[in-house]
Amino acid sequence: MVRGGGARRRLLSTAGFYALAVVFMLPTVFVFYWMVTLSLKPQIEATAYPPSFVRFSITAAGYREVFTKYPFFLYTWNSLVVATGCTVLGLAVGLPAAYSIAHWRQQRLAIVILVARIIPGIAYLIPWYIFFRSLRMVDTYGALILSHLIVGLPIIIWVMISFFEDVPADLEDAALIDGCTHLGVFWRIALPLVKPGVVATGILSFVFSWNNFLFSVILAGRTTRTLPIAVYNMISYEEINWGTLAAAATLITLPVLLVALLAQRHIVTGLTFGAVKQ
Amino acid sequence: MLTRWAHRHAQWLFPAPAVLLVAVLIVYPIAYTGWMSFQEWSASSLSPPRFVGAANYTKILVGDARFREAVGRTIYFTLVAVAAETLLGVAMALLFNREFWGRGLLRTLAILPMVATPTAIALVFVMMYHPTLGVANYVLSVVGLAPFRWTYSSQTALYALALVDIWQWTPLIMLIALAGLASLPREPYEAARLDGASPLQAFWHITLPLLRPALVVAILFRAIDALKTFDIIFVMTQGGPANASETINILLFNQAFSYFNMGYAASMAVALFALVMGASLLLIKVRRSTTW
Amino acid sequence: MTARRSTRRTFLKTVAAAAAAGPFVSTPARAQGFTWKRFQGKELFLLLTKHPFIDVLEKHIPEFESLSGMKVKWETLPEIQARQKMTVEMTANSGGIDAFFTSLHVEKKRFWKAGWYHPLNKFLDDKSLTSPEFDWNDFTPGAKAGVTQPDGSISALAAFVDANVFFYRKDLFGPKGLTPPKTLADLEPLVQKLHAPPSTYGIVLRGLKNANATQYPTILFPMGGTYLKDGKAVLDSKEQVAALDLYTKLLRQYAPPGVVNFNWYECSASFMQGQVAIYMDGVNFASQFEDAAKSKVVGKIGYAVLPSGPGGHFSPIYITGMAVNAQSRNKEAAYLFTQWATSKPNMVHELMAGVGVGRTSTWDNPEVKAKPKMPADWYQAYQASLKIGRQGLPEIVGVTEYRDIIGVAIQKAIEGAPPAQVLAQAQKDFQDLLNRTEN
Repeated sequence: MVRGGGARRRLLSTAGFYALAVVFMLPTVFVFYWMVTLSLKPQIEATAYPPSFVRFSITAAGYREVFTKYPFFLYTWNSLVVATGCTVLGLAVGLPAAYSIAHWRQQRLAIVILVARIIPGIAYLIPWYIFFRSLRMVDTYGALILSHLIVGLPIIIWVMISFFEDVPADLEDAALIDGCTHLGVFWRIALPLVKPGVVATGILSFVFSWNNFLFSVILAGRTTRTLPIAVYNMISYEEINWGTLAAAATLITLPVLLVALLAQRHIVTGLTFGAVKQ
Repeated sequence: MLTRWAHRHAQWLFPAPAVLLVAVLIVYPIAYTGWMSFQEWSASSLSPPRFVGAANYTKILVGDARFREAVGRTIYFTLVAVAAETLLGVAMALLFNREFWGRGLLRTLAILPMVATPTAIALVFVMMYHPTLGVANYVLSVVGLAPFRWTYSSQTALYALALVDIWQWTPLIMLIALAGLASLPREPYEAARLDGASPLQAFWHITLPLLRPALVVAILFRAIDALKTFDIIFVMTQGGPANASETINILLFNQAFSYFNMGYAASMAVALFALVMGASLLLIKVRRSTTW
Repeated sequence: MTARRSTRRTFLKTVAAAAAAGPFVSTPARAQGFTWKRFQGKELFLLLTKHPFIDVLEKHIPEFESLSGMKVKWETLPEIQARQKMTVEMTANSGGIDAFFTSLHVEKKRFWKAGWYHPLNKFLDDKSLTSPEFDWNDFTPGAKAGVTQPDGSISALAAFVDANVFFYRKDLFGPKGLTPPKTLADLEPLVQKLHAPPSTYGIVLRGLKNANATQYPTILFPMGGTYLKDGKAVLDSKEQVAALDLYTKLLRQYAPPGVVNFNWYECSASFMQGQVAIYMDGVNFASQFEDAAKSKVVGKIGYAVLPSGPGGHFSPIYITGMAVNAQSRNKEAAYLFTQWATSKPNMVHELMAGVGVGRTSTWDNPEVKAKPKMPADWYQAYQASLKIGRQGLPEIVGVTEYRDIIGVAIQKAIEGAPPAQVLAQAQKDFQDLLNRTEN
């Protein structure tokens, strides 16, 4: 009797837990669900009221329009190149810096790096344009990669500091006594230990670069323009085509969502390890 | 020789590339913006910038009610968004801090909003918020609530925008808090239980202080980004209705690219920078008092 | 007349001949000292704005390339980003843009004062640079005035002329025996009769700040109100108060909820969903209304001229043009493009696609008349509106700032603030703006 009541209570509390879980997570799922269903609806149904949640006619018109009206493949390729370049360069310069900050406790440097992120993005626009123009770099991947670095690098460094702080100092000291150089310690001992962090920050930096649009308007040209601009371009004259807009939104979000799904473990460690230390 | 030299100066050589790169990228913008903030210039190619001393700053500090309101709004938006994210995130972390079927799924779902392109998400919310055609009001009507004006009323616009930010970033706080909870030591709780502390007291006096360093960094990055929020506001309301959702960043954009007050916009950029920097230093101080 | 009618064919023949035979063949144009091929081999860069006019133009740019032997590169951005890009380019003095599409109702005086427009007067007078077929006098008086500055310099060639008109649902008007209003006084009673929420709202007009400033004169002008009197702001006149009162009362009482943040696309969406009986806005939006893929009210819409009022009968017009960048290193070549973009043949392409233009001959063009894309009353309403056209916004440097000032006042009034009070504030802000920027 008593045990039966306990079981029922447990069952109830489990049910309650899942009910709460659903309530908490429903908004997250719903926004994506809505985005995808809108993208598949014909224009008239997309703006119909009351909206249909499950039963609606499916069309690829929105997607067709996106692909025929905009050089979507080119934009996707540009986004890929810029995000990859930004990530590789960010890791190449960011990892040694993070190691150094963690190893030699250079907290001031960490704050200097943070300043780059604190400056309002709009303040960069005109000076950067003048700067890159004088280097003949406007409308090149180089300018975009460098500009996106301002967003990605602070994240790489700040998250990696925490990873490098967790590398046991004894290991490093032992290697140094054995005649290893700092570079050797960094490369052969510290780096292998923080590999999960490297993957994690790499992915984050990629995602942030992928999502950035403010700099591309000015620094990119027709050949180097990245994806968020494509969506942005559609807003002003096509806001009325909800289906097309949703299709564009879906296409842009899809790659990062896929990356997130495949590498979710790394992203979580990346996002949390930067903050959580034991 | 070179290796020995490099070895000895490793602590400067290691961060050098990153620091140089950042310096190259930010020094000119800082100098340009700083200089421009003392000029008056309407981007004319016929008349060059004119030095006006601290006039732009005086105007910001005492003359411009619209700017003052934008500052208040920016701070309020950040407080509402980050506070809600922290409260909800921690609450969700406490709820989900146990073994259950679907934990992996939960984690997957949680990261989706964070990585989604803000421009795209803002667009989806624009469509959902539409007062007569949008699904948000339909859902409200189904559960028997009166329709809401969302971004379509000056009373609610800022909150509706904060809601997008909350939707996107609450999971981050939740994940960080979850990771923090998983790494908490058991002993203090057992001791507290023996002392007869209630779960609430245990949470307040043990869990929260232990979580604090982790949360503070998360809040730091969230606050920096929330103070500078641009994408979603620009896409969704452009600062309206009236000026109800005009934050410093939006006003700054308008001053520079709609009104062509280049010098004045530059001084606003400096002010926004000071605000974000101040908030950051404050948070870094909080963090340093706990660890480091 | 015959010559005019065959313009397009002659034009195409010229293109074909020139393309086939190369520069040694003397075309009729060349005989008069003008040739499209003058800058053969050069490369032009254009900054264009996302706009129906540009959508049509882009399709024909290859024709210009083969006509002129120039290579044309261009970039099309939404208006705000285009202006942002333009500002940055001009600030950096890059000379990278040769010609650009310009919203004269916003940028005319600002860009002129900043020295961004290259004055076209000399080019227009130069027979070796301007095709004999161009015919400056073919532009409507409104279009000519719209591109001419106070000092007489011509800043652009008028491309697109938008006029505000009255859209209404014939299927709702008919059964009740209603007709479009002749005067402002008829408007509210009419709206009231049609208002049956939530299935049908009486009217929709733009509420969103800045955007609403282009629609407000639809009421303000016939009410007798204006923006400036002897260079001073007159936003607090009694005509202004009456106009704002009517504009915002209509929206507060008879428009769909949330109208305070409606730009044209929300307005159009609710109209095309069949939620609204009356809509007043730019005439060019109509091509969407008649597109069955987007609209539920295809064939049910009537087009009429705006109502008149005690102050007269007006249609606010907005002119967009093609301009030559003063910083360009290829100004003459850029002018050739500008001229081609606003040439008679190109204007025919535009109007046949349902984009309204400021050339008189285009409206009478037999090709356009033979294959009307839009209902007959659309052409009538459009042409009649051009005849009563009046620049919709004040011609000042700070147009955008003015639009925000009046825009906020309109939004506040929609949300219930007394018109006289918000206009008093707007008057003060507007006068401040004038003191700062006009001298």
